[in-house]
Amino acid sequence: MQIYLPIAEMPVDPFIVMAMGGGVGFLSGMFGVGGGFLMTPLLIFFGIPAPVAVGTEASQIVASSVSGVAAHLKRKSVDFQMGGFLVFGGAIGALLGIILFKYLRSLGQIDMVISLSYVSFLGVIGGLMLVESINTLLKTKNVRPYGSRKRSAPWMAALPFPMRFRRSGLYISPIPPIVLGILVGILSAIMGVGGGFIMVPAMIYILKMPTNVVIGTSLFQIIFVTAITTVLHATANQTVDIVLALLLLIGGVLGAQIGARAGVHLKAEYLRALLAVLVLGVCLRLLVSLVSAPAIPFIIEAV
Amino acid sequence: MIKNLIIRMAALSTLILYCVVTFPNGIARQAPSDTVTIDLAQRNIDINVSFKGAKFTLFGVIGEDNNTTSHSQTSSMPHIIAMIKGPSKNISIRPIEQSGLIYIPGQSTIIRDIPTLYFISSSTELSTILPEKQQIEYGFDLKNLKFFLDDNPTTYADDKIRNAIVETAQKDGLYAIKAHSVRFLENGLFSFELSLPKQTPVGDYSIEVTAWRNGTLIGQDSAKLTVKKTGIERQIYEIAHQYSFIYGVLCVLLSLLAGWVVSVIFRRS
Repeated sequence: MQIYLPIAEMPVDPFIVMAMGGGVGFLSGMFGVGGGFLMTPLLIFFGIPAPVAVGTEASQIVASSVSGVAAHLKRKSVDFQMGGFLVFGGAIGALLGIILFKYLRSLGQIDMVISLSYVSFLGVIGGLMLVESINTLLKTKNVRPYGSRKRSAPWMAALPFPMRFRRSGLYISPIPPIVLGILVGILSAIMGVGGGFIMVPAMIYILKMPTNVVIGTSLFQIIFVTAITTVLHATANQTVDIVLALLLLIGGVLGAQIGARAGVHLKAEYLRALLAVLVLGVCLRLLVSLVSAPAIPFIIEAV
Repeated sequence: MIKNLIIRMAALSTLILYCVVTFPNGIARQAPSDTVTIDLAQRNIDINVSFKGAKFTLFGVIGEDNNTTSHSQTSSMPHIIAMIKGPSKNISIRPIEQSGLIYIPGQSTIIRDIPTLYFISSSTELSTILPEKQQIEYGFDLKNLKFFLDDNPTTYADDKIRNAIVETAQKDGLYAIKAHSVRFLENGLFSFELSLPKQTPVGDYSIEVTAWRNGTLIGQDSAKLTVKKTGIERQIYEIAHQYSFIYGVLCVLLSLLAGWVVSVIFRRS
């Protein structure tokens, strides 16, 4: 059986696509990560044009984040005030990212930039995660809990317009969250990710937000920023394939449910080490395709 | 002077093109310049192509003279070559070059008016129909097509670029030479199959049918083919390109809805 993807302009076996969504969904459910940074490279390996993979993944993240944020809304673990500033920055960042994306696409360099961004981000994050989890596994003591220092850095309150973020218990200027939002927005637009893998550590270690509001607030901002990114990609680049997104979503939600159950049986340190290995594997695979001579030494495009 | 025509119609496929090839009896005329006329019964054809591509058979008839019994010259059937060209477009081609450790796309060259599809169907090997020089002249030789540069309209793209374009198109089934694909049936009826691949672009195609004898062009005619794509996939594509903002908003709304439905389903279970 074959389904034709209208925007990627290629026929695919829907069950293979759903299985890919399911596989990444399983991993994201098990590890508690968004999965965009695994899905987009997988789509590119599968043969989906890189710009379509990025645009489509943004819309899929909207769907998976909505189902995730519902639970957090119930628990009131979303800082809407902080989320609002993050979204504001994210919107600016997404716009900048789309402008950059369109420009690089017109130069014919977007595929290479997407791959290079993935290689560098996955390499750094996978490496850090691997080192940290190996350290944790070797000496289980001396584990520093997240956000052990509750106070934010004084310079954040010294910036203009400091205000109280009641839900997070912070008194800082909104400028750091806006800047963080801009950076994540750019990444979201160029890489087709939610950016949770940057946002969550930054909220914990830089903004010093309490961990119980971090995930909910990050999901809240991801929904808005990926929604904006989706509309911008659809408008500026026509690279959002709704058929592909829905197929991935069907597999993804099922996989995430199974993965979440499987994850319960594994120790957190092992999970993190496994995820680190996986991230480095994807990074390596992308690196190999960047440094090896292409089978077809030309790129031909209609203009 | 046109003699009797025998026209046969065979409904083998969804779409039929008459190619009526007529030529006068060779006896009464001076032998070398036996020009003939080809008359295509149908000149504008609309075809709907699904994403899987489309196949259809084109038919033609070579007229025969029923009044004369002697067929000294017509005993050798003329050869037939059909050239099908897809809509032209400009393309950019970039070599992928090594830069330091990684391979990156290099400078692009814009080539003008490249036919998106290029099929040559013939009744036998092209080399037995006409000499190589003429094959090149009439554009029957894929290895010797001339592609013009956009910024310098009098210059051809070099062999490397031309071969890259042709080979890529051949791989996609968009450029092909199909010798022996024009088949003569009984009583001068001939047919050839046109199989448009899934990448077939939409737009106006031209079909030029030529008849050859002893390396000389003895008749020709052409038809137009308009290819449209159908199906829900095509409609989504059109909406995404024509109403891209609305399409983007719809994608987000659909994703929000899907995510919400999923969360409701799994909360219950």
